[in-house]
Amino acid sequence: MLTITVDHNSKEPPYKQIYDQIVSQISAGILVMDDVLPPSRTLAGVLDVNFHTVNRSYQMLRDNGVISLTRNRKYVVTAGRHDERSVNEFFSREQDLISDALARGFGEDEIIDIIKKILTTRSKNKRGDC
Amino acid sequence: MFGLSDLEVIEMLLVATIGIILSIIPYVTEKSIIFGVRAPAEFRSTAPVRKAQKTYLIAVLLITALSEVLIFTIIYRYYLLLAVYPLFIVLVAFFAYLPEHYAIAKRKRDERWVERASQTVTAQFVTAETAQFPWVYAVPGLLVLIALFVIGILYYPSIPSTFPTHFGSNGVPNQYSAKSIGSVFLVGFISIATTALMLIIAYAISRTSFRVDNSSRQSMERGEIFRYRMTAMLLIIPVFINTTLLLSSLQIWGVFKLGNYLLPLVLAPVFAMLVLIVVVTYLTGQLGSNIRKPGHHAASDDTAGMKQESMKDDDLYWRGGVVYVNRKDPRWLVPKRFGMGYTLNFGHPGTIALIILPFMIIMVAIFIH
Repeated sequence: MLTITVDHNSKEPPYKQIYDQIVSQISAGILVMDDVLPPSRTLAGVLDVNFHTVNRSYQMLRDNGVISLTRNRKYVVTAGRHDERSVNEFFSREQDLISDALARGFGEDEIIDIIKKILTTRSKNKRGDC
Repeated sequence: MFGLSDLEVIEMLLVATIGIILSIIPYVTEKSIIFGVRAPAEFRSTAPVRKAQKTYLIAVLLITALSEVLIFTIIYRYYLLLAVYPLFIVLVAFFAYLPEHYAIAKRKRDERWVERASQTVTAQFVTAETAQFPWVYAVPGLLVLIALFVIGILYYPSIPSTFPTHFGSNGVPNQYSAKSIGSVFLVGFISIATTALMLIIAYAISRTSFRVDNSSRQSMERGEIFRYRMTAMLLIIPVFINTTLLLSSLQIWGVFKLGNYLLPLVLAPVFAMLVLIVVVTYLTGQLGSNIRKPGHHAASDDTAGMKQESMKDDDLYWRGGVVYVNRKDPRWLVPKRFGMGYTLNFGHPGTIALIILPFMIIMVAIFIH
């Protein structure tokens, strides 16, 4: 079951809120590979947001390789299937983030600790959901 | 029974059931819905709301009691009135609801609730993988349907060339038909059609996404249980209708003669069904708002959507607080606001077609005839 909360008072724009929640539910294992996402019109209608807002979230998810549009116009979760291209993409994104952190004066151990912390919270959430 | 005809007893029972259903509506809606108006949940337990609920309850019960007297004294003489009366009482009760609805809507405007409320919408989306369709509940109804056709086929040779197809309330036949597959199995075909309709609606409900009631704790679990129970209930309903239709078929075919007990026996399953609907909807509530223990793990409020807060205002999509009109919403079924179960989205082009279609079929049938 996909659960989405949109807070229209939040500083975060609705398209970003939708994007983040879909990504977090994939990373938590609530949505798994080959799951079909609801049509963008349904999402927009039920959440009372503009249709283009949801399209923007879906487009972002497609650009990041999290979902893809099938021939019969369904959005399918593809995260988890990582090919060479997505590995390279992830590598370069991480590289940017890590160089940024190093430039700010973070130590190597600190960076590794942060990454470990992120991964452990994620697996804790996953257990909680089962 | 007390010198009343079967028809009167049935009508009085039916009106009483409708009266009970209508009177408990304020107690089964979402916690943030008061007479069809989206309101902060804490407002529900204030004195004016309690008073409004009491006024509505008393009004509906009075209307029901008055109706029973009317049926007992006058209406039973006019068959047409008996047929339309259950609809009439719904209409009258609606007029007991409307003043309360407008009073609360006015207070909402005057006190600017919308500005104070949070602007959050939480929804549950059913994906093909997560849809639960407990089809086992449909098995009893399908077995009764099969039994009807098996008995009909076995009994077919012994049905006379003209046989009674309609009985008076005293069990004496007052209409006959020539024997044909169409006339013998007419009731059977109605049985197929109603079963199919229920299964289609159950399937649609099992796949309908909706906003959960943010003002209830564990709203996600509640929503899931609500959807499951509504689906299961619609799947089990054909067993009651089909039993009624099977009994009337058996009577028509002359398998047994029920005489005076015909009507009560035939309609007993339908009343059992109404009781089931009332009990299930009361114990569940819209979006699961009346469920006592919605989750296996009690009070874990950390998951998304479990926080208690009010929902983004959606009154503009609900005409009079009861009719849903939203062109931008692609769903054709949505959970009702003031009532139990689901209602149609009248902003959906399919809904308009769905309403016009039966009229079209009737018109075509009249012209062909």
